[in-house]
Amino acid sequence: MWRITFEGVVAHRLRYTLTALAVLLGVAFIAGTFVLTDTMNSAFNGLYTQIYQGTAAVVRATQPFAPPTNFSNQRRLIDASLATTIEKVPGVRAVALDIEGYAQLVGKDGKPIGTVGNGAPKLGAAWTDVTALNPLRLLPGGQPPRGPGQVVIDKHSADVGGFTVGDKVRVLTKTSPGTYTITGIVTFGSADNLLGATITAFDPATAAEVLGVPGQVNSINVEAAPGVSPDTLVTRIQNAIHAPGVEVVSGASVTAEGEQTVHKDLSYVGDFLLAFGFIALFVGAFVIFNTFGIVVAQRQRELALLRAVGASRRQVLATVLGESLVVGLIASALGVLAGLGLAMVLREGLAALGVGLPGSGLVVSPRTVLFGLIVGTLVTVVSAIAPARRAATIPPVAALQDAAAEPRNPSIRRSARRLIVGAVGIVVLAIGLFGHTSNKAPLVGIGAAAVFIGVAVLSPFAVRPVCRALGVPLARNSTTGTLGQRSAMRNPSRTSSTAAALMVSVALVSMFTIMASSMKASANATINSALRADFVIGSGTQAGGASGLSPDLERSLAALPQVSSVAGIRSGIVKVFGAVTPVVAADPAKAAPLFNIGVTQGNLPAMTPTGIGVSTQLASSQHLRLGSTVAVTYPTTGTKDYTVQVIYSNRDIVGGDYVLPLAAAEANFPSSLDIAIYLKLAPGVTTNAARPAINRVLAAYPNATLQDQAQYKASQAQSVNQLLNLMYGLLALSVAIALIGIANTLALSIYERTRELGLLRAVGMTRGQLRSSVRAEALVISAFGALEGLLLGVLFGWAIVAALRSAGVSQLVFPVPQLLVVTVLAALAGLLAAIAPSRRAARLNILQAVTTE
Amino acid sequence: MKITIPDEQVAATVQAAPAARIVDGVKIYGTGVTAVRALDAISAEFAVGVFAAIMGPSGSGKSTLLHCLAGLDRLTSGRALIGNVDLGSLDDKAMTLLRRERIGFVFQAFNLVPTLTAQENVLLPLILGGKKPERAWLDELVRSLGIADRLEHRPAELSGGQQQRVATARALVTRPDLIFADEPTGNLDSRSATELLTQIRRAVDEYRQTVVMVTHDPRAAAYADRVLFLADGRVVRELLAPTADLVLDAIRELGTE
Repeated sequence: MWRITFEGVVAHRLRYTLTALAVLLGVAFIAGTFVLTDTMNSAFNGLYTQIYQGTAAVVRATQPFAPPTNFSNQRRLIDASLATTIEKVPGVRAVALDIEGYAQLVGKDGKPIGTVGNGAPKLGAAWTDVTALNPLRLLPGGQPPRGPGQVVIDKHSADVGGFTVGDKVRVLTKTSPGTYTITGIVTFGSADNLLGATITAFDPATAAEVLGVPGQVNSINVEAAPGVSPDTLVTRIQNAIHAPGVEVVSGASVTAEGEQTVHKDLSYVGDFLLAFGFIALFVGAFVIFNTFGIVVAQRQRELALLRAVGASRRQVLATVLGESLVVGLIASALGVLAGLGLAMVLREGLAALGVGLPGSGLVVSPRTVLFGLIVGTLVTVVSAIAPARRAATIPPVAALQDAAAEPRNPSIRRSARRLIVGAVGIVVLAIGLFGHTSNKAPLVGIGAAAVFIGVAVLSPFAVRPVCRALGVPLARNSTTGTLGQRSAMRNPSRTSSTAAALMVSVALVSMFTIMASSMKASANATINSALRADFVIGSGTQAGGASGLSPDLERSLAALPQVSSVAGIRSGIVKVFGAVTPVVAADPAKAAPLFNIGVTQGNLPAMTPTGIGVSTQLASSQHLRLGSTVAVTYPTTGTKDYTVQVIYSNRDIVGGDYVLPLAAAEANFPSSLDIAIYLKLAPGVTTNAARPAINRVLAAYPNATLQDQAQYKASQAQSVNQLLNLMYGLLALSVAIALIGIANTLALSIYERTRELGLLRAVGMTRGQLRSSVRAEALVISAFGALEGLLLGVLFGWAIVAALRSAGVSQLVFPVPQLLVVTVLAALAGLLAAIAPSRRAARLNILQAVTTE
Repeated sequence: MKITIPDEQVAATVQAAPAARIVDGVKIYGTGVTAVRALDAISAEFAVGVFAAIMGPSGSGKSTLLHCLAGLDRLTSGRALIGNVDLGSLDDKAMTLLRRERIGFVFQAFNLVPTLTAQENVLLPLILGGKKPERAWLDELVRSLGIADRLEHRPAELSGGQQQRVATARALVTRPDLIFADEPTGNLDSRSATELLTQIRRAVDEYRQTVVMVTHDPRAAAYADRVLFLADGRVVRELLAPTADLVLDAIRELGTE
């Protein structure tokens, strides 16, 4: 039987080519994601190992809990004087004071260097002369920074900013901006670019002043004398120092922590990308199902002949499944290879965007290859099960009958059974979206997939009426339109499963479009109802990030006569009621006039340094009232108790369930920078009148962006749009696969209709007319899929917005023009799919078509 | 129903205005040692208003002759003409339009487009040309072919005989110069075959249509005005005013040559 299987694939290789392409693309995307994340992981692992090679032990503050890091240091500082104790420990060869902080380089054009807003850190550090403990390597021709006026900067920043040794450079830190002389260019280990991070190193005294707190350091790194093991050294240092809240760990474990962090960050990105890879495979599954269905129908006589000469049902089933196995394996293997290429392209693309990766060479782990092969093959074989079972039911007598593949009408009974799949899908989806489970994403994915399958199973019933309606404008214009429309209606099951692939893509695109519009509308609604500030000064920093605006800026702005109130907002990451969450902090008296947070109880301006504001939702779920105690744990300083003094209803403008006083932030947040500053003008001052004065103050802070309310709204919308465009880009793959599916069905149908097309040509249909009838058929199929997708997308959009209500998406908006554009474009894309099949149909040899038996 | 035309009259018509001609037609399939000479310098004329049958054993070139005359295939050398139009001078588009407007087809099977109703199938050549049918002509056609009550049916709902009659109506609807029928009764039972041939005969007699029919069946050939016998790509014999017996005799004689 294997021989028959193999010959079957070879004989139908053309029919299977497009199917294989559908699998190949999905597998390539998944394999590419794996290769890229593995490569990044390995690059960072290498880098960490390199950096901490000479570090035997690290002395640093303990951490009450480890927050999800985003490069910022979330530990308390320790006394620099500990270094003198450590130096005396036997086996210590040298120590280095590690001071880190925010240092933003300013280019010669006055603009900040480095990608703004994506969280790539702008690192400031202290230079150490202990080579073994210094992660930075000075390039030839440079000197270490000495004294308060000198810095060394990283090579990528130097290249981007056009800086050379001896140039002056402006650097923003938490103190006022300063100008420094560049004495050297450094690489980070052997990498000149660390995912777009920038580095500025000062001499230790300057670093303590501009980055940290004089007399304190982030950590003390220790080099061991020859022959002393790191573990021995760690124990000895532990015994030598008895400072509470200070821990001694080996360099190896710091390396492991760093690797772990990067690994975790990358796995978020990886999972996000993988989700789209699976969507692509899911869409591909429809294409496979469809192709095998058509091929089985077309080979009815051949398969019946096998049965007639003695093949069992099981053997016929095995033949078809075997073919799917061969197709799946070949496609997956090619897909893995294509994934390598994809990863290579992506890496170059990232580098071109300024997010370069250290190290070289792609990492292809056995997991990548195995996973790609197994997933691709499995999807192919599983999708072929139903067609294979249909093949097995072909009676031997069919070999003698002339009955060509007459389409079966959709059976209500059969569909009813499968409908259960869809119903279960809705339930699973609902649990995933609205239930209180920990692992929502897979549930949502499985539920949505089941709903798609359910709809695909039911949609054959809709094909005839819907296509009739869709075909009306086509039929009015031409005969060829009528012919195309009729062809699309001829086999409802085939049309609906072809359209299903497009339906999935359009549904997701519509859903994301609705979600994005709702998010934008929600942001606008929040700003309109609750933001009383006239200007927002942003820093492009995310919650808990290390960058930001120096508190000096707030003071300078407050001094302007045009300004009535101004407040800087701090952000940190804490653990409250067992959940890790970003929180904001501000001076309550200053912030109160700028925001309408909907205080229901208490008095915001009167909040004390030990007070806390909580949302009404949290108050009800945790049974809090005014005077209740809330324990907040900081990653730096541990647990502190606060008294509920304010309860507010508008958690959307706050962006969470807690508001802390500025004093809490100053005492406990690792960063002493404002992530944003809000400003209200004095009565009678217009925004245009105030702008020049504010801009003069901001001139010294190039990373600050000034936005009035309208601009602020626009920038919120823009960030949503960026995300939406990313989604669109990733879904483009699925759309492409769906189009491949349509092209494949058309090609196979045309093959099936050779005689009919020959007849049409014989009685006077021109090549152009034949092409246009194939195009019309494609158009009707894709329009059907697009309409189904639109309906499901609206449903999913509604569901996801409802699920996101607690995340601040309060408005449900259906952007009708965009949705119509998406639907119409998807329908028209069918014309693309028709290009090759219609050409092929037009090239048909009439004589062969009318004479072939 | 059968009307016998005197031989002289047939000969005169042939001379006057041939609806189609083939002059020194050569058709070679393949190249080199595998080359097959399907038509070997064949010449023949088909007069207006005459029903001609083409017979011959398999491989005699009868189907090739039909295809080359009908503009479905091209000659290797020589000329095939519909009226005065040399088919060799036409490109695909012009050839298609000529088929649409001046030629009708009835094939052995798969004559109809399954997605179209009987009426739409009948009107197909007109619809493709964007022309309106003449109502009276259409009514007459469907009535005389006995398919008036089947017009809204799809081909799958029609019997084999009905399907062939619909195809015949389609071949006639444009009042073509020439109708080509390739074994039109090959898949029919004898009653349906008789009906269909009678109707084709009537089309020739009543509407002065010109018909060229390839057939294996001597009884079918007997409906024609003349029968051309082909062998090895040449006309080897011609029979005027044939009867089934005469045709059978001719076949027997040719077979023993």
